[in-house]
Amino acid sequence: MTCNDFALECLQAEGHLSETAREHLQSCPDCQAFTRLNSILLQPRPSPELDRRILQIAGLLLHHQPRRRWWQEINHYFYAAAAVLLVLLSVYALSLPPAGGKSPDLLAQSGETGSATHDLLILSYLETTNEMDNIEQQLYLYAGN
Amino acid sequence: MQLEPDDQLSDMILIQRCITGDDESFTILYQRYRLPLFAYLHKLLPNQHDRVDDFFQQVWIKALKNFSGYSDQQRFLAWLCRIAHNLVMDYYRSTDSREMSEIQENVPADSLDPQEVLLQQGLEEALQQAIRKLSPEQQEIVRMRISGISFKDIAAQKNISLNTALGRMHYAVQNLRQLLADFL
Ligand SMILES: [Zn+2]
Repeated sequence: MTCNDFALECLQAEGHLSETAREHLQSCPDCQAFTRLNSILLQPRPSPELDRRILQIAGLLLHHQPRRRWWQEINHYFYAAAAVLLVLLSVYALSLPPAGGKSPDLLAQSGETGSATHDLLILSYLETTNEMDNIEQQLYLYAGN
Repeated sequence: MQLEPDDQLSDMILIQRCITGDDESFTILYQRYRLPLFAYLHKLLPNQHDRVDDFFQQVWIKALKNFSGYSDQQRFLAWLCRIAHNLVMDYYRSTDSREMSEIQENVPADSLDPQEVLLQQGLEEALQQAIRKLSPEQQEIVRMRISGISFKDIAAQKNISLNTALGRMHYAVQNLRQLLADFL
């Protein structure tokens, strides 16, 4: 048997070689290499279509993994900060003396004042009110022009 | 500092990147293990080509959904084969098949060693490059044979004689042998 005869038989054989071909194969390194390559070529492999489909599905699945958004990443810090602020405000509110239901304006006019902190609060309130009046007046003047 | 090429990264790093949504890393993993997994499924489901395709897809989807549960205590291929094995066993159980016990005895879930997988992957890449260097006629016949079409059907489809089809394939294999001399 020649190498050419062997190759033609090997290509058509579905895993079964004749006795003569088997004998030739045992003694011929060239045909051993040919057989090896032929079996590599014929080994089962996914079709290009199947490859494409799986990579496409993978792309979809990987991009839709539930990922934490930035606000989800920071929300626990936000809640912690809000809780601290709430506690501080509560402590501050409890530390204030009762105002007796009067507005800071009335308190300032009546001269009824409490602690130094309270006086400062009223002063700041009045200053703010005055500034607001000035701004309103300026706006009125601008509008008039 | 020299960065490691992506295709040489470990399975675990690629899986961690997949978890963060990196599909390039998945492509590398897929190219690395598609052939051994496909061959393994062919052993589990002999002569059931369509079913193999179906299970192959199912295995990858299941793997993708469970990447966070993978630990490198187990080799990735063994992990994939385990998923494949369980899916096929569930299928055989649901069909009350007798083949199940034969498969459980004869096909271990981890039948390829990593060195063999790497060699196979390298050879496969070289083979695909070599095929692209063949003449268009030879490329066509090789691709038809790879997709499992018989010489008789190739001859009929291409309107050539059986001997011409065999001759073209013969020359194609000879040329591939020269192109792949380093691997064979
Ligand atoms: Zn020979």
